Amino acid sequence: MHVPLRALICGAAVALVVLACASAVVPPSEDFNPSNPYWNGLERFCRAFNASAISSPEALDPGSTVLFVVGPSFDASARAEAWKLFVEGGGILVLMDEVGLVNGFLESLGLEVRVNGSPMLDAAFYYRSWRLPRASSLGLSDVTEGVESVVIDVPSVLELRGNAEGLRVLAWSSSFSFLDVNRDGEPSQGEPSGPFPLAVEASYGRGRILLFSDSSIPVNGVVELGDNLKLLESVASGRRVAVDVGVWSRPTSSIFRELVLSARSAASSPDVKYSLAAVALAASLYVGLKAGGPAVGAEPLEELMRRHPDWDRRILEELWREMERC
Amino acid sequence: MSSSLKGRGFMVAAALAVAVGLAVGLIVWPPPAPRPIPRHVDPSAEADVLPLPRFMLLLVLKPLDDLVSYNFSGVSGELEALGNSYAPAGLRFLVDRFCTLMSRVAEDLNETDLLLDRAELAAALGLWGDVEAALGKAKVRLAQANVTCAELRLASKELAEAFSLPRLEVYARLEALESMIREMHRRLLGLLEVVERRPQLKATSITISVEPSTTWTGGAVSVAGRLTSMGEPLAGRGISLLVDGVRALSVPTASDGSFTARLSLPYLYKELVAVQAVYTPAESDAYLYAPSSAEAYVHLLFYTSTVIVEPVGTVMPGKAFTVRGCVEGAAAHPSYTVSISWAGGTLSTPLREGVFEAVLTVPDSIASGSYALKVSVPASDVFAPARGETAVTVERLPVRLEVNAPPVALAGFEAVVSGFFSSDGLREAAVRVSLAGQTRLANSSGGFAVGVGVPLTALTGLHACRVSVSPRDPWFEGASWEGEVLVVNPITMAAPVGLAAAAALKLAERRPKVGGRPSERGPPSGGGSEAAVPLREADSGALRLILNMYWEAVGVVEGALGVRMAPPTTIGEFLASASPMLGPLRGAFEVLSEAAERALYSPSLPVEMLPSARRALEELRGLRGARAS
Repeated sequence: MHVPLRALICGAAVALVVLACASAVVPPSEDFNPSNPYWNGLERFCRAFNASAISSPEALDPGSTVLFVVGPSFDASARAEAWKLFVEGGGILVLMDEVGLVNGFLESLGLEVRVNGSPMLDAAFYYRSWRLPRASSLGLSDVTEGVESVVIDVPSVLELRGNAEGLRVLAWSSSFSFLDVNRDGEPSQGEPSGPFPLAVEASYGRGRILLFSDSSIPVNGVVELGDNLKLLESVASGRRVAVDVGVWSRPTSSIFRELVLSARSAASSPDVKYSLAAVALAASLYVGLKAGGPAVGAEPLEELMRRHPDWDRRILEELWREMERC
Repeated sequence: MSSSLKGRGFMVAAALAVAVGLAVGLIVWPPPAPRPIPRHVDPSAEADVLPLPRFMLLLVLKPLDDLVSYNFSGVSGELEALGNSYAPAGLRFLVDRFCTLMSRVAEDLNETDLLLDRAELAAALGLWGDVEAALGKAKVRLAQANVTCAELRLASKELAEAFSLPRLEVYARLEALESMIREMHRRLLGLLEVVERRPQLKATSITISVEPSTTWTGGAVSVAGRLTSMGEPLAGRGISLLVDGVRALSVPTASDGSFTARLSLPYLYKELVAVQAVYTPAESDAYLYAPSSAEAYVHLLFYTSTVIVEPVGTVMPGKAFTVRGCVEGAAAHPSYTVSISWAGGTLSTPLREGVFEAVLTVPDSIASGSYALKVSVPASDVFAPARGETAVTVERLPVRLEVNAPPVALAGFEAVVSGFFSSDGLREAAVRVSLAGQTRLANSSGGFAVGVGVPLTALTGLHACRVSVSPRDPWFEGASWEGEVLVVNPITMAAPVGLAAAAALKLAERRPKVGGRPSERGPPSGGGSEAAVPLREADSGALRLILNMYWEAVGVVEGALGVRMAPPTTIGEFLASASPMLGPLRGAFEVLSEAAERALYSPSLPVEMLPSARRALEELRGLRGARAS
């Protein structure tokens, strides 16, 4: 069947408009999106801490900022230098990863700690299911002051290497926790059992690095469990909070939504706003002028005027109206 | 008509199909990559899972094990762990009840055990009143524990059922607990029996004297005294001598009840120390004699020293400073070192002839503020320890920063932010300039001019411009400046200006047309070179003249040819009907008819038309003359 080009263009335009409206109205649902209000988003965290989403850490003022790197979805080695400069300049860098994608960065800093990558479950101290362990053994630090328990969501564990000099463990799992190496969800023969370190703190340059073996602590569904919010408040320590959004690979819908929102945001700027106003004015003038022409019999009258451009249009219109009346 | 409608319907349907297809395609494409391991799960969607029974059993048995092994202090910790373990909301009360009952039993048994211990001690000392009081309380607490234990058995059964715990192991521990209660009960009964057959104790009296009453600390004193009962000496009894509450030695009494001892005093740096003689009846004496004690005081001599620390004042991070001082006293302190504590660290430095000096480095990252620096010298024989302190203020040198930011910047071009910073001795600093989302770093030793490319994506408006200076040397304070720069984006600004200009031009073009008579509508049909007369209102006399001439011509034609021009007859129709009969005058009447039509309907009229019409009328008037002749 042959689909006319006009129909294709109209359809594409309608689809674009519908999608643009829908994506502006429907909130995103992908992991860690700062606008995602569902359980796996960071909307509550961002609202609670007035966090700003940044894609280039270079622009941050290290002395007054704490930068969260939450659940990177690819090896962000390209950002390692920027993070390093940020910490050296006095910034607080919070790395939250259970996959091990920050290990390269940790290695480049010479820190004797790695993220294991295997999931850690707890069969006694948890929230609802073994996949949501509750860590109640917390080290002495200004970060854990007033924090009694932290609920984590399918975390991994940290491996302290060598003598782990300069590292301070902030949280341990219980002795009933185990590393689910074979991923059968049960403690099996040979699987390491806890307690495991879950969070460490290290000084670096003028700043410090906080490493957590779970990226879910700030997500909407988890942030209010246990004392997670209090922990994050301590981590923020009154500084400006920024979330590095350049560490996630995003679906097309998210990119499209961002474009739409950027366009909407741009439309509110003075120049674009005035452009649109001018276009609207011009369009309304054009339509108004067209509408102000002959009200009746436009086509024959135009034809007549084309043939006799020197004839009086007003008299012709009057005659036409007379004829219509008769 | 119907085919046109069908075509339009097809177009709409096709457009809708394309729209839906594209929308769905864009939403679902690309499909999310399957993730074998979830990074996280929705906590609210997780089903309640019971703890692993063998782990839960451990948590339940641990407090019971602690309890039956008399580790009462460990029970509360284990119960806290059990309470922190997960239990679904519907089963939580079972765990809480078990914990509450366990806690109550542990408390009762602990108190019973302490009371029985106290009763035993009091019995040994012959304090029978205290024994009776303690046993009375112990009886009540043990009875309470027994009742609670019965409840605990029931609670344990429910807990074991709910959490699928092996009941036999739980019951075995409960049996042990009941055995423990029985054991305590036996102990209680034994003590009650002792109370029943208690003897009448004889009072004892003890005296003590110390020589010399003043001595150097760490020296020795002679202690002498006597133990009697009802005036009779008690020989061969052990007397405990305590110095400042700490047992020093034990001496036996002689046949006359007297005791003497040479007592070495520890190095205490108190002016007055008590030396106590205590008699505690032992074995069979416990049923015959009451205990007694007496004390005497010794004045101790020792040297006191004063640590004087010279004020340090203000120091700066990364720089060293010297702390000096001395240890003064009546005699030179024999210590070779003093200990200096500051900023979380401690070091020892030599003390030579009572003077010390140390060079300390201020950590780079230390926060500005006031810190206490403490110097202590340890005790040495007859020299008492001493300490002194001084305040150290950590400050950084302020950096003066002046910034010249352009008030206006064009998007797509570079905006140069310049300025300078200064401070005494400041060599180099990193300058960070941020504008419109762009950040540039530069190293400078004072003046700087940093170009920041304002991206074309920056929209017109006020943008924050931040400049921060981070000196390399840690003893300088960082400085920052923040202001606003008006960014003008020529691209986005061109759009509204262009559109507004286009609209204005269009308006200007259309305005004359609103009057309905543009003079430049094009040449009339009469000929390309004809000039047009002004608008009708400007020469209405000429137009009226033409019309008069036409009506005169019509009268001539009607008269000559007998053709009538009825009211509905138009100029063109009359011309058509008369033309065939006019012969050579046909052209003249055509000229007049066209002139009349133009006069009536056209906004413009060629200038030559008026004389032409006059000539034509003249010719037609000839028709009237010809008819008359």
